Order: sequence, then C-alpha cells, then structure tokens
Amino acid sequence: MTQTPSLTSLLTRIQAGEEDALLALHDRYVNLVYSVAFRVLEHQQDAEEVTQDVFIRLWRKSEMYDPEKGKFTTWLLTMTRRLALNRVRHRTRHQPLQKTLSLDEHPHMWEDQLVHEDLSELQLVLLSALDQLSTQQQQAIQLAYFRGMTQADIAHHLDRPLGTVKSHIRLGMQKLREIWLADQTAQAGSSE
Amino acid sequence: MSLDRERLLNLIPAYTLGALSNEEAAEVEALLATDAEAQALLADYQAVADTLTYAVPVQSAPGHLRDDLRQRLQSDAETPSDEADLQRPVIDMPVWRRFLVPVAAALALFIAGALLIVSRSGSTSPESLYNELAAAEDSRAIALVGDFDEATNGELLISSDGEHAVIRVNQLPALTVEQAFQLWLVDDDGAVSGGVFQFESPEGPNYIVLPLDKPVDDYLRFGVSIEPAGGSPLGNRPTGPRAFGVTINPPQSG
Repeated sequence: MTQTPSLTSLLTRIQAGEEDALLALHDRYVNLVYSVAFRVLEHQQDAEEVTQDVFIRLWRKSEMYDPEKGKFTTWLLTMTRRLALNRVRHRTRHQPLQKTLSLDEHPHMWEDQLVHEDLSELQLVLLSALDQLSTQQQQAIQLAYFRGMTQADIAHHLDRPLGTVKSHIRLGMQKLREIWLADQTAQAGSSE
Repeated sequence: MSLDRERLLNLIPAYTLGALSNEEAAEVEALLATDAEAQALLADYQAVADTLTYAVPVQSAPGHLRDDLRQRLQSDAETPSDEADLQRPVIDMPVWRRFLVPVAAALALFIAGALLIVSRSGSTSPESLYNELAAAEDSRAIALVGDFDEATNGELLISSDGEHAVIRVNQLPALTVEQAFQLWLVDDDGAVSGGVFQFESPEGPNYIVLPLDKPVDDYLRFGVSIEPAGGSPLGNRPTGPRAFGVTINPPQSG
C-alpha cells in the first residue's frame, strides 16, 4: 500500500531539487491555488499563469515558507491572492468587473480538497460566520480582498456613499473578529 | 483615547484588506510603528482576513497545468533561470560586505550619489525620470510618510508597467557626518539594501531611483532608514530609525 507523503517531506524534497515532489504538491494543491487565482482574476488564462507562477516560486524558494508563521495552505493561498492582485494591477484598469461576488455555497468541498491538511475548526467557524454578515458587508469585504479595491473604489463601483462602504467593511470585519475571538476562548476553555 | 487614534484603530480592518487609500495606509502604519494595541488588532484582523481565501468556491484546475509545470521545470533546467530575476542588486553583494566593508561603504556612497540620487542641484537622470513619469498620464503616485520627522514628505512615482519607480522626497532630517540614509526594498523574502547615500540638501527635493529587479507591485514596501555612514552593520536589515516609507502591498500573515 502506498503511503501519502507528508507535506513536510514534500517540502524537504522540493528543497533538495526533486521535481516529483513538486508535482506531487501540485497535484494536492492546484485546485485550491487555481480557484483563488480565478476568483481574483476571473480570467482563465491569467489564472492559469498565476497558478504556474505560484508553483514555480515554490520550486525556487520553498524555504520561504515558515511553519511557525502558520499553515502551509494559508500561506500558499495568500501568496496566490497577492500574485493575482499584482496581475490585476498590471492589466488595464478599464475592464468591466462583475458587480457581485458569491461566497462558496459549499464550504464542505474544502474539506474534501484538504484531505492532507484539514481545515481547522476555526476556519470552518469563520466560513459559517461569513453567512452572518449582511450581503452588503460580504460584498464590500470581498471586493476589497479579492479585487484589490480601495473603499473609495468600492463606493464608486457600487454607487454607494463612501461612508456606507467604510461601515460595511469595519462592522463586517469586527463581526468576524468577534467570532474568531469567541472561538479561541472556547477552545482554550475546552483544553483546560 | 484621542479621536484621531480611535479613527486610525477603526481603519485597521480595512487596512488588513488592503482597502485604504495610500494616505490612510500611511497614517495607520505610523500608528502601528508605536502602538501595541494597534499591532495586536492588526494580528487579529490578519488572521481573520487570511481565512477569506477559504471562502472561494473550489473548482477544478485545467488538466494541462501539470504538464505545463513539468515542461517549465525542464525548460528552466536547460536555460539560465529568468528569475535571476529575484537575485539582488549589485550594491548588496555579500562578498563585498564580508571582505571589503569599508571599501564597499565608500563605493556604495559614491555609486548611490552618482547613479541613484540627485539633489536639487543635480541635473541627471533621476530627476529627469521623475519629470517623465510625472508627465505620463498612466503613471501612478503613492504618497510617502515621514516617520523620523513628520515634515518629511514626497511621493513615489511608478511607470504604468511597474518597471520604473522614482521617489521625490522633501524635508529629510539633517544627518551628522557619521550617518547616512539607506534604501530598503522589502518583499516576501525580507529586506534588501538598495544603496547607502547622503544628500547635500536634506530639505530637497531629492530624487531616488529604485533599483528594481522585478515589477514594483511584487514588493511589499520601500523605506529609507538612518544608519551609520557605512550602512547597516547587519547588512540585510535596518538598524536605525526609518526616515520615511512607502507601502505597496499591506503585510500579510501566514
């Protein structure tokens, strides 16, 4: 029976220059990376190129990942988002953007994807917490995070007062943080 | 709590999302540099923001990506890496630092003075590049924020393709002969020196051409610190106070 290699062993092998290890890591994470890139770019070819860039960076600089700073998946996906946003900034600023962004209606799929590095309870809590935000709060937060828009950009894009957009972002993020803190407290209590 | 501090604390959630204007982001960063409560809030909000990537609907990547990656690896193995890209400018060569520190310091000052920086009396490329970018309709500007002295002001101008960038800065703090300014380029890998220099007229305007080895948007921020005359003794990070900074991409945890 073949044993699935651990993430640590794959990263070690990648640092040693083993291409097969990178391809194994690619198999494991490519859907997640591509999904985030596509969410930001909404353009298949651009998303493919960013996905490629992410794995090439991993190949050349896998030592950049520091396990002490957090989960590998989080690190990988925040890097993907940043590279995708860089590409957004490089391309024309006059391309029309969709006015709506949808949250994942099936967050459990992430669990299926992350068979080797499970989502933490906290992340699942936060995913469900997003549902507790108003549609406007979700929209403002997502346009900022996934489109790289400033609050002023969002106000213009949605034709809403700037103050309203600022409130949506601030109150929405405060709500998510409250849930995050409450979950941390509950976890600390249960481990005592 | 002052009203202004409260206002800035309320901006931290948007700062974490990268949703502030450059001016607002600079204000928040100035608070973050000294305020422990602000730093703790930022850490919380970063942790929250990082989970947003998990809210993206999962879809299958095109099947050819694996073969594309394999071909890219083969291609890279056969030809010199185009990401010599990520190798650093000549100014910060470790060999020089290791063996020729005094010479390197003097040379860096000379090179920086000759190539990177032009004071008000200067007339060569940095100021010309600045004027060229200022005249271009598709360039963009990011305000810089003075940290050591609030009077320090100016902006970073970036070409439309992100390949060229020049800083114009006014009202820099006056240095002693034992001190120098040092430029830092910060990306995911950390800080790299962009040169050590001094200005004849700190009040400016003074110009600094950034020695980019990749597009501006691939950096997190740029900053200029006040260091000993030969540059930071640590080589790869500043030791002195920051004279000013410019943020390109807000920091991320993870």
